[in-house]
Amino acid sequence: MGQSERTQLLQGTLDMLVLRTLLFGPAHGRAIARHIQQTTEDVLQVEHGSLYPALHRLERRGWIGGKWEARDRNRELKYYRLTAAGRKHLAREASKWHRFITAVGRVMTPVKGGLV
Amino acid sequence: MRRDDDVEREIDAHLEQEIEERQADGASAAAARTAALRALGNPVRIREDVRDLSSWAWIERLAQDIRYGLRVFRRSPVFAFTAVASLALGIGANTAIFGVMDAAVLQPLPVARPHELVVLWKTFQPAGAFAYDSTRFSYPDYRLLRDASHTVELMAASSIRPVSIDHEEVTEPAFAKVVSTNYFAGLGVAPALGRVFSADDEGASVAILGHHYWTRRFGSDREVLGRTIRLDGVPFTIVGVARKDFSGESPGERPGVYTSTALMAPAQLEERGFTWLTLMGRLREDATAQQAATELGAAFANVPRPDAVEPGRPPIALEPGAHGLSRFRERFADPLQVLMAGVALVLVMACANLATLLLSRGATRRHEIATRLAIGARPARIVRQLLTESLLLAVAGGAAGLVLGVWGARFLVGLVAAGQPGVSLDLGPDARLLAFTASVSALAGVLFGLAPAVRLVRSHAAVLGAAEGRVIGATAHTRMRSGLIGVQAALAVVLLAAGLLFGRTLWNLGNQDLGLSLDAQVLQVTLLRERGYRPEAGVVLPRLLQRLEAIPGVASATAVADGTLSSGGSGVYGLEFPGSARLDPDEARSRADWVGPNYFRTVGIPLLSGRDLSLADTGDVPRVAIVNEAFARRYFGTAAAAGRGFTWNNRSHEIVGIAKDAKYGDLRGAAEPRIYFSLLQFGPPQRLEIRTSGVDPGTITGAVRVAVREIDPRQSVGEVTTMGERLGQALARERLLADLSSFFGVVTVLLVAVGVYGTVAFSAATRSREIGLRLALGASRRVVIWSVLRELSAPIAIGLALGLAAVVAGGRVVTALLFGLGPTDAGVLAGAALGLLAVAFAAGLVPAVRASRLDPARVLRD
Repeated sequence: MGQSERTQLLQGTLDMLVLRTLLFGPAHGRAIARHIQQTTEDVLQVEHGSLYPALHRLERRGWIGGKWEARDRNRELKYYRLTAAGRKHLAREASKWHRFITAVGRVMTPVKGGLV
Repeated sequence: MRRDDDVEREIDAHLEQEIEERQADGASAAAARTAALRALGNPVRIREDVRDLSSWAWIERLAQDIRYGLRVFRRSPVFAFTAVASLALGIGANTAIFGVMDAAVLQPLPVARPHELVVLWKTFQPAGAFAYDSTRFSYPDYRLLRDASHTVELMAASSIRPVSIDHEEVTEPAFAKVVSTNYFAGLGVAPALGRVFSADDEGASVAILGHHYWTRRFGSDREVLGRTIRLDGVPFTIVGVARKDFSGESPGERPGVYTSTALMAPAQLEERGFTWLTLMGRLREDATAQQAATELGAAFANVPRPDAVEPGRPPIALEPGAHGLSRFRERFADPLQVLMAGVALVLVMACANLATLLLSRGATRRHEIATRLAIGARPARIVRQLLTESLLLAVAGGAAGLVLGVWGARFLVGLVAAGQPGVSLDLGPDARLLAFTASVSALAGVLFGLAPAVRLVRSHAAVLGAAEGRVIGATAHTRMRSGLIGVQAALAVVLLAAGLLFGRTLWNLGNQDLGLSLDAQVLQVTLLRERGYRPEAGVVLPRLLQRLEAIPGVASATAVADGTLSSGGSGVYGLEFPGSARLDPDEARSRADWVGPNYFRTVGIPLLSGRDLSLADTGDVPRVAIVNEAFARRYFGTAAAAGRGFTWNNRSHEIVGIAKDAKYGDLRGAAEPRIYFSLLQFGPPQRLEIRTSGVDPGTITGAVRVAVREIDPRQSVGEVTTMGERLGQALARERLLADLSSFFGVVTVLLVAVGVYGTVAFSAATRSREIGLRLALGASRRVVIWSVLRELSAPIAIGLALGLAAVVAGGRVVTALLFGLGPTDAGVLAGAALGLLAVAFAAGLVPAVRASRLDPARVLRD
């Protein structure tokens, strides 16, 4: 059971990162992974083993839509784009995330001279 | 497009891109491909993960697992058969006992709102006897209580009685139950056909057929309504058929026909002293049982009656009646509970055994599992596959067990009912039984499957990780197998001890000195009299006995009021002894029966002094009696009491003989003081007892029937049994326990033998190199045998100790079912321990000796 808890925790974060990445426009799986990796300066390595299941999960929930398109050198790739529902979901998740890191940050780096 | 294909295409595209990029960076085609694959991870697993997102995926997986499991079993039919057979035995035994227990003990009556029902008890005190509690009421009392009650609706029913049914020129015996006209309506039982009795049927000759009797005798003919059948010669009109699942308020009985009170003689319906009805009531919603008891008690005490209890004691009590009132249940509820616990242990045993088998198989499936793990299967997935295989076994075992169990329950009731007329239970497999069997099977499947599956996969995960994995896996297996063998030894010792305890109890009861000879040479014949006919004491009987003794092969004939072994006999109190101080009437008590001439000679109770009763002991003066040793010791302080006397019920009795103490009714209790009054001075007999010599008693029953009809046409012969059979009936409960528990004991010990054999053989096989080396270095065969056997000695010893401890700790609960020994009888414990050790040792010795005969040269070369 411990294992599934851990995946879920990662899942939530990965989902949010994928949605955030797609805010810039449609992208295929590999581009999404690379973007996350490059933006975080390789701090976050995206496991392809969990990326594709995550994409299909998000698609199933209606937050992103996938479509096979040949954009690049005639090769057909599956491009994902954010849906309206996905945009809303991302906004909710982002504000939750900010609240979370602000709270954690207050504990980790207390303001000088504060009571606590 | 199917999602599977979609993902595959996506992954392919991903790989292609990745490979192209790496090649562009200067890598060779092969290196680029390897690197791309490594970066991606296992494509099969990614596909599986995406597929798992689908809500139908589990069904697909299940179907796949089942197909795979079936293939595995087809490849190893011997294993599959062994597993299913031992499961079927364990599950079947549980189903059988549960089936009987559910029908007789657990299920409330199949009537409307059973929890509102109550059963009436009365306390009464026959003249000169002790106070008794009884559930038997007379018809006048039923009417009285019914009419007086505002808190409870009363229904009445007789117990089943044998009748002859004439229908279309065929006469056959059946069992009839006489019920009040509100019986079906009050219980809320609808008819399957026709109608139930109503108040208008009061006094009418109407009958309702029991469903099974209707099916069997009338072929479920729907035209049966309105037809006439003759019960004991009296015509009755069939007005309905009872519902299929209903067979009266007394589980263990199954009436063929329900009748109105017209089956009884008018005199019997008027007689307040003739108690033959069980009263059940349905409490009205706003009434409590206490209120009802008070109300009914007041009405009951309002009528002067000779057997009223002393004022101040409540004459009527109410007990919950949701389960009806069943003699069968009273007698067999305890043994059934013990057996239920026993069969549960048998099932755990079968599971432990199967777990051992699965572990051994695991060794042979090592390669398959390792391969599947290597190509990316998750351990959880393989555990699920192995569990599916276990559950498949459990389903097959459960199905076979259900068949076995339904058959076994019938067999069990047959065993109990042998010689007891009218015992019958509706055992048709119903939803409850199916649910029970299904859940037991599922539980068993998880129980025996989970641990080995987890163990297997874990050890193989270790195989993948460590070079020395094979050894790690093997020791883990061995440890688990040893544990399982220990569990089996513990269970087997418990069941073996139970078998020995109940077997010894049966033997002790059957072979004790009963003080009388209850052999197959003595016949007991129940006499039936015409309704309302009660011949005067001493008028017909002497002629009948003389006529019976004239039959060739009859050594002596006598008659009794209650009958040897038929019950504990009546009790009398308030005895007075001339010349001694007056005793407290409650203290001056004795058991009693009324017996005819030559009684002691006929049943074989030795007379210590004085004489047997004779044909001359008739008329009023002097009243005579024979007492037993216990009576003489208690009231005269000496065994020499012949010639002395006592007064009972204001009549003085002369003691003409002292009889040896005998187990007269209850085979367990110590002999109590007992008086044998002269039946010729009392009333008509209920039973004849006839000792034959030199002939098969069965051959004279015809002559006995003829003799009875010839002497008194108003009497006839009912049930005929030998005393040996009656003794058998008295021991039915003990025999049931002894037979089944010994059977389970033997089965579990055999399972231990199988387990030990398999484990030792397996361990010897895995150690063959080591053994070969030892033999080559000069170890003696005995040392090798011992080294192989030693592995299991610790688990068996521990299991044995735990099992014996469990018997000592838990044995108390069966104390009341034992006779002549305690639950921790040293002989029984030693016997169980030695029996188990002997079997386990023998089972282990065979493969151990085989291992010691290895050719070292060959083993070491291989």
